Amino acid sequence: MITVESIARRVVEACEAEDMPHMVTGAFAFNYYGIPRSTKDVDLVVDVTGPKKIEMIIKRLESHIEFGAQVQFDTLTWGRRHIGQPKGHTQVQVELFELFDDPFVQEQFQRRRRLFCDQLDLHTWLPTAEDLIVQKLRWGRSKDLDDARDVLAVQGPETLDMNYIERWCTAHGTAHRLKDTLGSLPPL
Amino acid sequence: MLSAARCELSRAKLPDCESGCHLLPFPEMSNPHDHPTALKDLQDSIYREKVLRARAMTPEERWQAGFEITNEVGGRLLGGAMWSLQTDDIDAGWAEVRRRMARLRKVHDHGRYVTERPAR
Repeated sequence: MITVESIARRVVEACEAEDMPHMVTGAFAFNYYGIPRSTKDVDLVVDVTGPKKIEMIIKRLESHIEFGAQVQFDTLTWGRRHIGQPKGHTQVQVELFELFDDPFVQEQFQRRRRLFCDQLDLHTWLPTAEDLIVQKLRWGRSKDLDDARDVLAVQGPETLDMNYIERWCTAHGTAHRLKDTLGSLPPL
Repeated sequence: MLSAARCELSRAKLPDCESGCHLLPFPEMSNPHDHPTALKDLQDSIYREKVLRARAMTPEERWQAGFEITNEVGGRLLGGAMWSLQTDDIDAGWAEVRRRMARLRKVHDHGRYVTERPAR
């Protein structure tokens, strides 16, 4: 069985080798800030706004991960997603999201943090806890709302830049989700 | 409203039911589903424990736990698939896991992803 960390390592290594600015998102980022849970995806945002092309990453990974030719668009922001299936025994797939000109996505990417991950044995980039919360509230699926609640609960609103979170939630029209999520937290 | 007989199963005696008492959240023999407040208290208690456990971990430990859970889930998915196929063929088991995951993703992605962007 291929472990999820070995898949993540390959993708991050490919980004590093191609000097492609990137940021790991999804459960990988969530687990750093929230309540550990399983995932079915390794998600990365990659900056293809410069000279680097996503095909370079896909090409570098092709002996281990097979990407479909068909790009997908999310219906919320119209960001582009590329899906890759690792070659081997795993339930996990790889999702590469292209960085694009959405103001929040841009700011989230600019604010990302560089961290060393022992399990990957390399440095990688993660969104801040605040940006992860804003992103989860924006997507608004039940799983996303649970994740936003968990990060708020584990980190504690008192340690977070709530003005920043409120500003983006207002811009996204998701202030009510933030309010509801905060209201759902039991006393800790 | 709880019946007096049912409420007698509870050791707690508080003013809030037919017999003049009220189930505490988790008294012996009581069922928290019978009482909205007790159920919410139980949910909050379980959630609080999860949060406090996560808070007691370092971010790196939470990362590690996430990896371990995911890999464990993979093994369990494989076991379930092989059992339902009644096979010892690991390749067939993983093929079934992937088929099931593809179906699950299709459901989760429905309405969220499309393969063509509408013209602006």
